Amino acid sequence: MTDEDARLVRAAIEGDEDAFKTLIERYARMAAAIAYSVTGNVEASRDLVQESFCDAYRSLRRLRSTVKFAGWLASITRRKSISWVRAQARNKVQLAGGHEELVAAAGEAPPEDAKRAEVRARVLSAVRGLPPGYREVVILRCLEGKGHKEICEALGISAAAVDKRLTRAKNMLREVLGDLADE
Amino acid sequence: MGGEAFNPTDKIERLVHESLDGLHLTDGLVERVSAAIPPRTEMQPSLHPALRLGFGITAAAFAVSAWLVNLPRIYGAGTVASYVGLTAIMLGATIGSTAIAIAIFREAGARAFAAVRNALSGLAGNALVGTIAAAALLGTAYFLLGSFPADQIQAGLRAARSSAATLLFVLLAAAAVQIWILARGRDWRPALRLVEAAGLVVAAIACAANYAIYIA
Repeated sequence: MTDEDARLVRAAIEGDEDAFKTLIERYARMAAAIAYSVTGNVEASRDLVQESFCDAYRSLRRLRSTVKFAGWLASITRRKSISWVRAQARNKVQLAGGHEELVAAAGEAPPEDAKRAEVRARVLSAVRGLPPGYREVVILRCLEGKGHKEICEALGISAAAVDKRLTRAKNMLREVLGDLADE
Repeated sequence: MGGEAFNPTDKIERLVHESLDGLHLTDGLVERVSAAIPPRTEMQPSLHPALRLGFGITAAAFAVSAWLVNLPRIYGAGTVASYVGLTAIMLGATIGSTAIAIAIFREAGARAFAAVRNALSGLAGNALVGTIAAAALLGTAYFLLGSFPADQIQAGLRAARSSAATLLFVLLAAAAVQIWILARGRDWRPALRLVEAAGLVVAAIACAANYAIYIA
């Protein structure tokens, strides 16, 4: 994957826009997972993913190691997302993460029964309650279906660290969502 | 727990997956981001490689000409001629090795040309930085001494001569390896930057040692 990424990055640097679009197809979901894990806000996350890719495209030549595109993009997205959260805090805007906002977010989905919406709100609220490092791993894995190797590349941590964070995160979620997990 | 990939039979993982999926976070995202990518003209670096190359060549030409006009006084016309010849040989070697690199990797087409361009751009950048550093040193000397220390500068130039040749060859070697590696589709540029940095350090040490010998 990383060799292919390196080839695509070099092609994009040389002006092949399709190569960069392939990178977008490959990593947009990952970037969205990271942005959402930091902001907890769907629309902001989508905007931040867009901005991150635009920034990455403009500064592609500065990427020191073309095989590390995923990790580089992840760090751009995370940095932008943290800035967004800080800006929101400065503006004293209530950050997403409250139960009501999650219900509202769930309400944007196609109509479904109230119980399912409530379950979703509870699960998302529980995920938001995880420590940031754990939350990022859980969202990357569950939103994107990423394996350990891809998560390692995106976050720049070891496979053992990914496994540990995932295990602990799932234990925490199991404690909070006990009844749902047992159903 | 925590197998290699997403496990839909794990109740917790499935619950989180379904909940996140219901947010429609990534619906249409690829199309949206693709449409927002700026046109090619907007992604040029702040200083275009060609401009950097131009600056580098100009700076190098100034440095070389400043060096050459002093040489007859220092070394005599015969020595100057030999240095001009040496410079021509080195230029020929550079152009020749670049041509060989292009010929060897001509099947790589644009990739090889891009690699050559990047390598030359890197060399020009180094030349520019070196010239700026030299100008800064001279400026500092003038500020401290009230005049240009001609004897010291001449000694410095003599000291730098052999060091500069060493540095140039290290940089050329790094550039040649860079061309070869990039054309082969590998990316070891960080390692090559290390080689370049090591070359600079070696050249600086050699320069300082030579300088100490000349002024002793």
